[in-house]
Amino acid sequence: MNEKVVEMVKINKKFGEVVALKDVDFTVYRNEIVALVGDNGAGKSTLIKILSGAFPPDSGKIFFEGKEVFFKHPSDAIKLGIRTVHQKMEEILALNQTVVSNLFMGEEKTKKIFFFKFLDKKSMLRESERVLARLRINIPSLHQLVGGLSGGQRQALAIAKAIRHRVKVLILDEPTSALGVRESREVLKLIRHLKNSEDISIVVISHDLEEVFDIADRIVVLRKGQNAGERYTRDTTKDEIIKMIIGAEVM
Amino acid sequence: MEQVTEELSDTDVKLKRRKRIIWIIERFIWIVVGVFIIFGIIFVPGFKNWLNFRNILLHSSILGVLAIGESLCLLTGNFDLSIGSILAFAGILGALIAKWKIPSLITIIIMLFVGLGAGFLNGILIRKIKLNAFVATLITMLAWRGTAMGIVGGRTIWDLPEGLRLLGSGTIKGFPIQILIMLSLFVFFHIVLTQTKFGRHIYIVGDNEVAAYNSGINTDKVIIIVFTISGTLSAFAGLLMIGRLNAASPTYGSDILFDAMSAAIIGGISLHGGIGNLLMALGGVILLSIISNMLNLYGVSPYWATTVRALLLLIAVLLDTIKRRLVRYE
Repeated sequence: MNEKVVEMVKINKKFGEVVALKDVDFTVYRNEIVALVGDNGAGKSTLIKILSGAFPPDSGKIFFEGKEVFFKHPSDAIKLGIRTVHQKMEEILALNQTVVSNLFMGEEKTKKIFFFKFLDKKSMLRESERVLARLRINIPSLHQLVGGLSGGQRQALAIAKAIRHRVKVLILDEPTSALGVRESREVLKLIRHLKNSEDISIVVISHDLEEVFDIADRIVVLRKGQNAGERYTRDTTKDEIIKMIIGAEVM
Repeated sequence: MEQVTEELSDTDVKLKRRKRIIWIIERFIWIVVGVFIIFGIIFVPGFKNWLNFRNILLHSSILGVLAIGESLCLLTGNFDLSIGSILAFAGILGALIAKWKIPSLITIIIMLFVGLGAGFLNGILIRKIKLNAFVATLITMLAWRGTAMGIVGGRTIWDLPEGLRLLGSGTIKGFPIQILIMLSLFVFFHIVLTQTKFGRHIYIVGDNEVAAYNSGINTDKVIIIVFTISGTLSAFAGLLMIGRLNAASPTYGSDILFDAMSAAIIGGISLHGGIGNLLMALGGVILLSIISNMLNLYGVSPYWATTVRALLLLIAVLLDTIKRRLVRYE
């Protein structure tokens, strides 16, 4: 439990004159769900983008499984097993494509017949069935177009797409912000199931403290680009976290 | 618990009904073609004979070759206005080169490479210089047409060598080669679209370019290749055209763009990209040919064909909207 998978140390990032992150530390332990919370502009997204390789920090170090790493491009992070599911479904899924086609988007399997490579639809279908079963995601037909799925199913599919390969750190950016109550509950169930059944660490960015207290093992609070404290969920209350977020005196 | 299962079976029934409607809409074009053929056989004098069917297919062949390229562009969510101009330019160039007594095979290869280059240029303008597809291909449409006109001063070049005419007017046991070529190109590109990674990427790029990019698909490459294919096919259509007419004029194909686009759209290829398939576009091509053939046989002025086409387009676009709505979860 106490093995560090990711350790970000004294991360600084400026955009022009705006200081987005100042000496921020962030650690992800093995097989935990850590929630990253904070007000708008607290630096959550910037921190996550640095971790997923979208851009480098101005200064600071990132360690992955104890070794220092440098990300130049998101693919560098993906190679190590760090995958991000972005907030906007419409930037991840193609609605007029089937479930299988979406799961394998950009990484379609092919087989060679004579000199030509053809799509290996059978093997993609089989692997899709396996992945969805592994995650206990229930989608009636894998040949269905994604446009015909509910919001919760789409979110689940986006997560399945990210962890089709073995992933060590899964970053979920506001996974339930676009969903209804019942669908949110399904997605939270999926996240919990992931943590319990796989060797995976999950970082959840969320605005919803109810949800954070529901699933997170640990809560890290950022305020105005700086660390504002962190707590184990079982040792804290919503009031305390809210005070950290808005910067009132902590009793 | 009972309520939940009831709810599920209810949506199941709805889903099944939707699926059935979508199934029919997706094949709608061939149903319409069938209805028109039956109508023609019963009511239109001179329709029911082998030579007339051959004429319909002949009329379809050049249009069909262009419609393939246009369909690919439409599937990626772009469109190519320059196909008719590339056709004319490649045709003029081929006819001129042939006058220098250069072997026809080499002439043909040069023509195809010119089309390939023109298509590639379209792709570069759109993806690397970031011009809007409409503007980019409008520019090249004017450029190639103007250049073709300028080179020959608007005149037509007659009498081409046999090698250049072979594909456009040759026959195999009485059956026109160009029909066979058109049909095999449709089959070939249909297989590319449905069975290869590149084809799958064309659909995904047209459906959601941002998602495609985020998933690591090289969207620029896909679109540039698609425009290159469209340019090459346009030049190939030019070869068929000068071969069939034994002459090359810089005015060839000046209104064929609208036919090719209508055929694709009537066949169910969506203007928004990502939806449709080539065999249905072929249906669109054949339907357009059947209609102008029938009006012809009836002795109706061909101008009315344009009106009928407008109606068909309207119906096709409405069906597309309905289909889009049906596949959504609501």
